[in-house]
Amino acid sequence: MRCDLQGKWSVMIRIEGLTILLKAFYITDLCIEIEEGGFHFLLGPTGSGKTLILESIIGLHKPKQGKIWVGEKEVQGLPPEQREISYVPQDLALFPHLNVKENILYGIKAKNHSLNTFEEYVGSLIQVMRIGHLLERFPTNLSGGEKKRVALLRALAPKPKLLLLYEPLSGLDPSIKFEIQQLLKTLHTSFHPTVLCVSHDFEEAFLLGDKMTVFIDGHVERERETRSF
Amino acid sequence: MTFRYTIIGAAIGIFIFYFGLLASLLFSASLQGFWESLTHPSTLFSIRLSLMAATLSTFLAVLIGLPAAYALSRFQFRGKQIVDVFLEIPIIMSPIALGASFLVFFNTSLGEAIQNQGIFFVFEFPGVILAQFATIAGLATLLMKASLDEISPRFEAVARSLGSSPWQAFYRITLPLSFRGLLASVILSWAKAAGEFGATVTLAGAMPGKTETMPIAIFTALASANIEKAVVLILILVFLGLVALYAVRFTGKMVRYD
Repeated sequence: MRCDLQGKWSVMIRIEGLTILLKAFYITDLCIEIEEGGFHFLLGPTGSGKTLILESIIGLHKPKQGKIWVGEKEVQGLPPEQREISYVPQDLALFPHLNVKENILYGIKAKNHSLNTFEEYVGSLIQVMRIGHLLERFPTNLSGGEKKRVALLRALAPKPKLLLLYEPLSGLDPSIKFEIQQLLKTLHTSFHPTVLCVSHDFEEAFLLGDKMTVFIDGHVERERETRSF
Repeated sequence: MTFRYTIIGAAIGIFIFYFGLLASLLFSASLQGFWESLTHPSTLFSIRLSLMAATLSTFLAVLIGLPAAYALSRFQFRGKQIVDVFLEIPIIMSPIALGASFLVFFNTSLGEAIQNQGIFFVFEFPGVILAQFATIAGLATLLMKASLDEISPRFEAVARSLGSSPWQAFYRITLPLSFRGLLASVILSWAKAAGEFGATVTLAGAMPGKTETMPIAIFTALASANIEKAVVLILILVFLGLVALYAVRFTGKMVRYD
């Protein structure tokens, strides 16, 4: 697919002509634009290369070609720590040796931000996420839903330009799934993070996303607003 | 039930075999003889030398082995498989052959050039360190790699996306998470270095008061029919080994995150 990006000033994330080759596996000319505060879904079947795309956006995998902009900054040559992209993997990867509070503050400390500056923002996140009573606990003592909330909060705490979610609702019990889905909606309404969610689940995209890009066999099939599908 | 009793009997049989062997040492000499041998200056020197050399060689093995283990655990690079195989050389190679290889090496022009810089290895204390290092470096690297392999690289990926440099992600996340395994690797490597004989005796010789570590002192004591000294040193080595093994087990229960 040829890139046909709109290039609006309000675009927060622009991925242009991303081409990934890994042995026999390839993804060609992936193009995505996400407006500031958008909730974009990247949908593809299992084994279609979602992980590779995600790793390329974070900076863990070097794509063959293509450009990635975060705001005004071209980031494809930058290491992950300079991209301002927070990532929530499917298994959440909460640091087991740190308690919830330390997990949440990890990104703020790693970026040498002042804790005072973020106090009010993190406090409101904790309130929305309803995890104030969990701050001293370690991840092993949290339920699946609580872990998910902590992982989301940890990713949002340093105010990233892009929040990257990988299959955020898969593998959850129906009750927890509903809870997290509502939480993601509330989070998005309250804090307006720009979100790219990589998933295989169309239902998730219809429930949460405002736009979706579907790719099959290594190339983009279509990109639409979710309500137009 | 017969099956259960048979296999438990086999486990107890192995225990009795080793325990009996060690217990027999306790009845081989008088208490007076034990004490005299233990406090003899040459015995104390061997103990001190062994502890010092094992600590130094383990330190060096960790210093080089930890970054090597991390590279092998996390990255793909050309020749990785070959490096991996070569790390097992000290395991499959006879320690005497390893020591002899060093003797041959230090007879080459490169080896002589190294010794001409003022550090002498052949029949000298640095030779003890080098022999022990050569014996344990590969093993230490493999053990540490196994510990690092158990920690998902996803933790580092998340830490880096949150703003940590690769080094910060390593020491703030991977290092504490793999600490138990790394500590156990260090302890086992140290115990192996303390008990090393073949490579050390070949490269550094069996020189009393200079390169005579505990295992070498056991050998020379037996050669001169000084059974009491040999038994004392064997018991000390066994004691150190048991403490090391207990410490390894203890590390498994030491850190809990709840």
